Amino acid sequence: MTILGRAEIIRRIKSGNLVVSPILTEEQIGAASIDLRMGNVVLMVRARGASHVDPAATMTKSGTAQDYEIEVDRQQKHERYEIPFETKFLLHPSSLALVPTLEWLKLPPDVLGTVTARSTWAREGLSIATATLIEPHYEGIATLELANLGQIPIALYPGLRIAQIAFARVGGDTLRPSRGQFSRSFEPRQGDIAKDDGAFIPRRP
Amino acid sequence: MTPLEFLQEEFDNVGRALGETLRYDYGPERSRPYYDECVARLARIKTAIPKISANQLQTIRDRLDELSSLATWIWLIERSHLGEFSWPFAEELRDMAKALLAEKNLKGTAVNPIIHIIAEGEGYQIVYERQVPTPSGEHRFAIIAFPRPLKHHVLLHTIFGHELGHTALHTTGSGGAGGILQSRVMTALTASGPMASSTKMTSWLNHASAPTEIRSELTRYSASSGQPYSFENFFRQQWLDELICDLFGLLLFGPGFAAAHQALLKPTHPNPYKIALFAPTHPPYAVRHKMLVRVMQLLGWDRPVTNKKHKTFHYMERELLTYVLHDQYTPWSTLFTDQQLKRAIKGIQTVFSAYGSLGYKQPSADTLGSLVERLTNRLPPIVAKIDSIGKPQLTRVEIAQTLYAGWVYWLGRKHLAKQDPLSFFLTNRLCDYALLQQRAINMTISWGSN
Repeated sequence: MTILGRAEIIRRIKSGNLVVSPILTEEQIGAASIDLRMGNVVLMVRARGASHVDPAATMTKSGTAQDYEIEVDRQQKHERYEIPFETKFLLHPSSLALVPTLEWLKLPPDVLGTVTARSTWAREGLSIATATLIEPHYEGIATLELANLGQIPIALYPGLRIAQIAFARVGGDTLRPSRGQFSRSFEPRQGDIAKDDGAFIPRRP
Repeated sequence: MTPLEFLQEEFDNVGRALGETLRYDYGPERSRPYYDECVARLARIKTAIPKISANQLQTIRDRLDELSSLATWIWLIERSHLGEFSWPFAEELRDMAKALLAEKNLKGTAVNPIIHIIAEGEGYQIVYERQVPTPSGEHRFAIIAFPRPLKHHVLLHTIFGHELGHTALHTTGSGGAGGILQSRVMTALTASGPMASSTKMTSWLNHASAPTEIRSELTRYSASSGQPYSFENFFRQQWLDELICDLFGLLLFGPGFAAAHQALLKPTHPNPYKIALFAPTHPPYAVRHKMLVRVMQLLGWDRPVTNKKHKTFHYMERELLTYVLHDQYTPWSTLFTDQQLKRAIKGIQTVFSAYGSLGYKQPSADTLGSLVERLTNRLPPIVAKIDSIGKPQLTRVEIAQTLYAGWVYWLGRKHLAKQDPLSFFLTNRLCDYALLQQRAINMTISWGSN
């Protein structure tokens, strides 16, 4: 596995092979990564929402009334906030927030992206160390899973560089049978944790 | 409970309702001026109540009406949810409205309107408070209402140019948008031709060249009312307002407005000549369309900014122009001479020039090409380039130009070699996201120049 260096990243962006846009400042491209900025939507788990996460609760029986309940649970799990620029969002200790990047990404077939926190922010307790891989062929915003591991709330503003993405060259064919469930996302959304694992999950009566 | 006691009760209720609006998050700071204005109006009513005696029934009724009106505005605070409309577009519209609708109060002090944005189930509208600003410094409310189902349809949102025209027409004070539109544009459009008087309008309707749909409508009217149709001056004024607002929207958003105008209005006007003679509030669609086509020609917007060198993008742009310029309607639908239209255009441009960068400017061929190319690659249409050392070349692109590119992509997509064109919805979403990214680009440029 080869990590793309700055010159290779710039070369690919200029040729249109790799898209991370907009790049707003020269400093945004590092030695072997690109900083990502916080976008304008925040999803937070609702206090009065689901009691726990259970893949079995997301199994559907198409066409039954149960679908309505599942959809309600899914859609009401999070509180959704749109945060315009120059607006503060407070991330409290131990809480998790899903936010999009401001940048739109488009990865070529031979490149894998890895998203991590920027060390500047990590020192304040901001963690972005959950789902970090972005597959080849992906296009859309990247979802950042923010957690505050510190003791005091962190104020965040859309447009801030809070994460970074590094790119690795992938060998072999990367085509998959179906498009990833989050491809062409414009904002974070609830994933399907039961997808393709039905064999192992009990059905509702 | 006496009427005066009821008034006091209603006052307390409205006050409580206003207080409870603070429980909810409507977005950052944007509802503060609106809230403060409601508080100020409530305070004025509070001052008046102790001076009212129990037998002043008409005064009690008047105060109740004021409270009822205030309650309506308070209710609208709660209808504002950032997640229900495209706020990048709304912010652009807010900036335009703030500039266009500023007016002077009775003291001669400039007063900005309070722009509030909501999403409703109904169509596009801007509700502008009719009450003139008072010496006490009250601001007028202007409510911009997006149709809720069209949350991301920024290409269609250009129709707000028409609604903004209506609001601008109602501003007061010399030197303001309303004054200029009345004195320059209205005068130009009524200087000659059918719109010069209601008598001439009646003659125009009865002209031998009128389409059969009109003649049939006139015959039906005479048969049911027992008298020949006579066009009322009230409706002539309404037609003028509508036509001026169409011009206003076109000059504000460019051909993207004409595309949205056609996309939204043509399906709802199966008979393009229909007038609805008993209450003809709007000109027939054919008249409105024909005027927009002619104005685009007079402005040179009927010619593509790209040329054959730009290949596919040029053919795509030509598709858009063919769509908006297609005019199948009879010459009878022409209400104004070129001279009248030129004077009207100049009048509206005078309004825009007072506010800096307002008004559509055609993009350069390179800019348009870059934006459309981004859409063909399923990317938000911004100009996003970096040089060989990774330094970004940031470019301001005006909202109307971004949306023009969106229409060029959508109407010209058949020329694309790729077989997987974006849906109209996805085209809109990418344009919507581009407006958000463009805002970040503009902020960075402004920051760098400080």
